[in-house]
Amino acid sequence: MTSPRMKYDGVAVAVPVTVPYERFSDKSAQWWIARALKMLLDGSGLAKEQIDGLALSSFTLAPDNPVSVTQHFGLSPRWLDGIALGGASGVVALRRAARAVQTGDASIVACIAADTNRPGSFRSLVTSFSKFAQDASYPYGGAGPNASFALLTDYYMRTYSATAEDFGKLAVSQRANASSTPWALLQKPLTMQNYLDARPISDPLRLFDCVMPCAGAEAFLVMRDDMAQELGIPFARIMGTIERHNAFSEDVIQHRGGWSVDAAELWSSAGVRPEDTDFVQTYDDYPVISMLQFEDLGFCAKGEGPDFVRTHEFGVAGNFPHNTSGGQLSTGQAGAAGGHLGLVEGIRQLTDSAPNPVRGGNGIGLVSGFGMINYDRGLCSAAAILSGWN
Amino acid sequence: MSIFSGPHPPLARSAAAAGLIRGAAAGRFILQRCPGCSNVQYPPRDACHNCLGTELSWEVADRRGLLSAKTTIHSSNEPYFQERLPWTIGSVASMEGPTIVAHLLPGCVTGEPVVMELRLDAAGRGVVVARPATEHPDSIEPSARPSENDFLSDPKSKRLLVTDGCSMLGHFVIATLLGRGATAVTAGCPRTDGICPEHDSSERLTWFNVATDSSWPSRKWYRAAQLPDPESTGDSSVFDAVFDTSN
Repeated sequence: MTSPRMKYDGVAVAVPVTVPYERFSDKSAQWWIARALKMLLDGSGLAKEQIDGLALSSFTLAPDNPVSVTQHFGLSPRWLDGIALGGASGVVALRRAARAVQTGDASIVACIAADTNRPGSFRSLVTSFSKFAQDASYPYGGAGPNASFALLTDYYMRTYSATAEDFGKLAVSQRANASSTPWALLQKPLTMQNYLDARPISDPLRLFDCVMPCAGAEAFLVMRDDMAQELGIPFARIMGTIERHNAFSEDVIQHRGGWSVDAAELWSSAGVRPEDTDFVQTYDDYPVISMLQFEDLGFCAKGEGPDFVRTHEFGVAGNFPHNTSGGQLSTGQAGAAGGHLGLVEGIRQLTDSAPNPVRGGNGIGLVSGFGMINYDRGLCSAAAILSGWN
Repeated sequence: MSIFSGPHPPLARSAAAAGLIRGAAAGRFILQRCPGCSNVQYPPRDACHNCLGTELSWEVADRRGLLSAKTTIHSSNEPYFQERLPWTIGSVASMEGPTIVAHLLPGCVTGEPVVMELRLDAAGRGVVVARPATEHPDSIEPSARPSENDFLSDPKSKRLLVTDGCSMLGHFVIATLLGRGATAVTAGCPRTDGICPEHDSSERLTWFNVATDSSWPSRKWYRAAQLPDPESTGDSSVFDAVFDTSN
């Protein structure tokens, strides 16, 4: 039925940038986008006029939309995409931008995700996140995604015998990774005891299972590889990517994501195996979701997530370097930028610019995204396998 | 039920969710069913997610389900719930098929059967409330929330407000409440131009012409209706419950 997927040959992914996060900001999303765009230009040596493609993700742009931003910043792109897929927006932006560059619809695409965070803006986001959330989940306690993820964590723990310590191990090792990340908002060392003793948020979730909403921006450039070479900037290549939405809608509760529909094709199209990767950047809005990604992307079988966590070490020197910048759990969740964080860190690792580098290996990494709790489960899943430039 | 002093649960709903208020008023567990393909769905939609039919009806559905997961919330964005924490909700695999997030009355056990009802919450919105199919009285903490008192169960002997009595939903709700023994129903009429269809006459029903530019009975609403302002009179129980039928 489905047609074979074209490869992503000739595409360069470059200039990973992060605008340092702030817990709260009185600036607008547009301000954060401008900062990211400037960093992309400074990092590449390009002039603003050379950016002819823009993929933008933001929850706090209203009343503006992506095209407003072109006038705001004096851009005149010939390709424009607004990607409202939350935690999947980074990988999806990469996929869209890569095809635009391959077909010649754009030469240089700036992929930017940015959100501001004023006191109260997270509440207003979750109150009216979607029709289904408004009608059928938010009125049930007003806890937003915390309650939804608590329910699926509860189910996962009972079905697959995961323990609080398993989730805690991911949170603790990400905090250790964050110690090298200058913009990480949470850098105070976290012990397992701190994790277990933290106040309950929505059982079984505790404080350090949950991300801290903040303001920030993440961005990268997608262009033809010969152009990147001409500019003399290091870049990563795309070996394979997937995206899937609203998979397994018949499951009574979410215990797997759309990755498991497409993972086999992802690995075969990339021509590598899970054990060939040097690092994995999962979407970590809650530790259970990282565990789903380990399983559904083929690093272990369904239900083996807890055991996988017990038998692996997640620091850069461990046998499974994971969320090497600290992930959202330690750097903060800057709205839609949370969906670009793992990808930007992955590009950093593969272009030798990560503050917390994974040494040696094959120069291959996997980045994954997950997004949009429309009602009771995350609808979007996406993943990309990238390789280094040398 | 004091809904006028202090915060209330989230009010905003889509038009598709109006059936939940109807079900709560009528004391019946109704869900959206597609007459074309018999698919039962939840949350309410504007089309059948199976065959895309747009003529959907609300029909009495099987109230039983299995509790897949539960969580006790300790941190809420909403002041109404903040004052009542901890508050327990769950995910119910309904016999009809859809997954339903529900308020859990005390005693619901994960993995065990529950029975669902449509009830009215303190914002006048229809919500799903689940209780254990088999009660385990020993395990129930008397102070646990939510409790029966957080939802309107029976309109009998109650004084009720229907914010917009002239909408189709309003007509239905009024007729149902009076039929179920409500002592007095007060209904707002948003029309000021005199073209409102003839109001149902009943000694238990009072109509007020109210320009309902606000969907919630605010102080302005009370002034317009010439009803005692519950805040200034200190009487927070002018009504036992509000059915907010304006959208």
